[in-house]
Amino acid sequence: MTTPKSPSAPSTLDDYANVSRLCSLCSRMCRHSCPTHLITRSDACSPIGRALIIELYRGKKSALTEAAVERLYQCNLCGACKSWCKPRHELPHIIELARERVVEEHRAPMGTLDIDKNVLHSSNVYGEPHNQRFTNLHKALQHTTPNAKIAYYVGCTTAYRHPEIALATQQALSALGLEFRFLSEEEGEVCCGSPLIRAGFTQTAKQLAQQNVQAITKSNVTTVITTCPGCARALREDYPTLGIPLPKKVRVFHITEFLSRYQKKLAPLLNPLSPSETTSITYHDPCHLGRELGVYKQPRHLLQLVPGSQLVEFPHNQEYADCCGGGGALPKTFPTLAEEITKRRLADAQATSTHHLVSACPNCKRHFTETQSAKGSKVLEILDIMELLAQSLKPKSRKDK
Amino acid sequence: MSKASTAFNVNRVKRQLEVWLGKDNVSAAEVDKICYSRDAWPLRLIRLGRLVLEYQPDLIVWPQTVEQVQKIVRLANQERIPLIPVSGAGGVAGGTLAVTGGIAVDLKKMNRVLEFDEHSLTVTVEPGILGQELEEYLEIRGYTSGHFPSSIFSSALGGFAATRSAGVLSSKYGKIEDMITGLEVVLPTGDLLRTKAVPRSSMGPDLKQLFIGSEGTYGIITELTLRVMPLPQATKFASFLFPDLTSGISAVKQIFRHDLKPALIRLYDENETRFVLGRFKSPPEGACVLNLMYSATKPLVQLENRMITKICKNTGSEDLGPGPSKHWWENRFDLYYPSSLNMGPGMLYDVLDVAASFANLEKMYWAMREAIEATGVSTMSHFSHFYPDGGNIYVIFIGHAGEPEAVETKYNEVWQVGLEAANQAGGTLSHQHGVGLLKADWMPIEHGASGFALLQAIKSYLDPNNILNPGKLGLGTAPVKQQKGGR
Repeated sequence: MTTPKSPSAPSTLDDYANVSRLCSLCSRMCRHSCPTHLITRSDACSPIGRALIIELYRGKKSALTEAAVERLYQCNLCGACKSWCKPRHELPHIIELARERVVEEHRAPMGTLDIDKNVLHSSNVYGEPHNQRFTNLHKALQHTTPNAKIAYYVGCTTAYRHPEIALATQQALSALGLEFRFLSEEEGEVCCGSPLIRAGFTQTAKQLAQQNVQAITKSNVTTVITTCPGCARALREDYPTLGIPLPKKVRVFHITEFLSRYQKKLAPLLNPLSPSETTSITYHDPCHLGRELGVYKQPRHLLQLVPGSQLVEFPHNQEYADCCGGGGALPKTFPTLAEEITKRRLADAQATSTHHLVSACPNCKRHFTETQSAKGSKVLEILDIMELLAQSLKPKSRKDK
Repeated sequence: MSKASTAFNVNRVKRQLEVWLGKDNVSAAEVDKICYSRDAWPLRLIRLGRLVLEYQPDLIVWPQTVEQVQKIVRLANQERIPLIPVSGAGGVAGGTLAVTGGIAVDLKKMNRVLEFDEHSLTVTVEPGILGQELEEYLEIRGYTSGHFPSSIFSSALGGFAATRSAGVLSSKYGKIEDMITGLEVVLPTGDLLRTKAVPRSSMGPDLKQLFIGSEGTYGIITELTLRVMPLPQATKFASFLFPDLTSGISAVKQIFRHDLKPALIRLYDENETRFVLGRFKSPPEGACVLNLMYSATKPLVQLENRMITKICKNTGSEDLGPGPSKHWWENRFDLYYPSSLNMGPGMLYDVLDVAASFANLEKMYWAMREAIEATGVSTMSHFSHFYPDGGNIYVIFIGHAGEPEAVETKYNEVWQVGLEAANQAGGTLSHQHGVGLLKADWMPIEHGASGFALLQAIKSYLDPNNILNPGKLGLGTAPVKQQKGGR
């Protein structure tokens, strides 16, 4: 039985009763892929364990105890379990719905309450001043076109923590001669709501969705691009599920999907990263971009456009890629667990003997760089795909001054 | 003599264990205990589907070193606390269920590869590494364990050894007891036993074989050394359709008498043949398909293919090409996902895995099928592990019985008549799934009074306080008589 999310009817935990029941009775066909299980090695901290906890709750056999809430929030919602599930059960979505109940019962973990509070006060997950959302992007702002039909939805992490990704994106778009704009006006973009949907704060997420849909509608753009897979998924898939879709004329793309349409034009603009030798690049598939949006080929095609690049794969890649550790609000709720997951992925990257670890998600970059820095060694050059492409752009095609 | 019981001070023991293992490695949380109250035994899953809460341990611990395991065992032995060793919990016989509470000792954090010896073609691992994890480790280096049970994603190496498991490529690579060259075991007293990891020894009985298949009743396996093989150069699939079961078995006998050991050799009865061939062909009544996979060096694959094709054609079969076998290999896990069919309300299912010599094999098949189908359930069967002298039968049954009580009554009835038929036909009552709780009562029948008494005496000697996995293999369900001169 497949369990697609219906865009027309917001789902409830009971809508998925048969699925959570079957998952709870599974012979653990996916447990070995769950990054949180691989660290804790606990059967409760696994997809099947979580499904059983949900079934116990639904069947009124067990309340949402502290331990039950912990196990549910220890899931990083990476979706790896789905890749090993022949019937493709949507367990991560069911866990999101269970978290809604946790929030309704006022039992949400402290870390997630912080996210909710920050967003309600400042419209971003970090609690930074909303009026400074584009402060770090002033260089890129100079290259925007007010009435452009393409809007670059930046997202919280890029705006406040990794503005270099936005600057690199601007360079690539400008090099291709593509006019774009930010949603930087007073009633412009706010947090996409993805972290809140994942954490069970659906009501707050709905408010954000309404604000973003209003801002995008008002901007009269036909294309929204984003460098954050979480934002892309929220705008494209979660908003319709929440009953707040974007206008039909607006199409949402992750930047790798969007730029893959310009490969022929982009290729001649790119230089080798190293004049004398090949550059090995290990590409990490972000969970939201890969498993949720199905985007695997496009980033790889773009990386292969860089002259002298040699794409190296993780042993677990594409549909079977391991999470960076940053998903599902885990860094806020269980930071040690999140860090252990990140370390594991970094170790796998190092084992590929790569020069560059490249992802296409600001959150992946953030968790990889922070964890590598904490270890006190800079073994890998960790970059977003847009930074790598921008580095490769020939000087004359760069319009960043 | 006292025996282990649940009457222990859980909080006090928990605090002690937390000192030794760290707080994160001890849990008494209700939801954790419920998650450890199941393995993959269909009857337990049928009951869990109705949210029947049972078989919960009082504590779960995750040791990370053999020294920690020793400390846990010594404490349990001193305090008479049942210990249930568990790793993947992928077993299908209830072998890791806590019958009388106690401490579930989850070994999954002991998951390191300790040594990979390319010269000797052996790998030494801790017991908590999952089959899939080991296979990935080896594959990246160009090797394979050759052990591919259907539970490879969920089961761990310790469990493979403890249940005496077999993988689907066993004709070529052997079963787990053929692969293991050395073991380390923590005995119920906390003492350590290590067998030398050597190709073979004639220094008396092979002690490691005492623990392989002991399902955690004689000791906790903490280290294993296994043989590995280079990844095969070539793989080729083949399928042949025989007019009936007799001709299919006859072909298999010929294959083994020609000293051929294809990696995969699976003969399906008429019912499962219809299921396996599915989109490929509508088989005539009574026809049985044989799926084969040759996996070896290129010349050997060619030779196996040529000789086996000739044998099968001479035995009156139709060559179906590689399709059905390849399709099975690529989709072999499909049946292991629960569905509304086998897990729907009122449904019952399971698999009887028995084995017999060729002299009894076909007779046993018909006797079991007749007895089981007479209870009103449907069957389909395959023979998936062959030897020069015989093979196993995997009798899958599925049925509907309505009310929960009726489901369990019917389930038990099927097992009773099925195993009675197998026993009367001279077969063993388990080829690869082990005993656990499911077949515990059958142990005296399987081994005879003297044989079972010996197993009990060994248990009594090794584990006088009956702390290790009480109730499994039918051992330690009652106070064990003190042996004179015992420890």
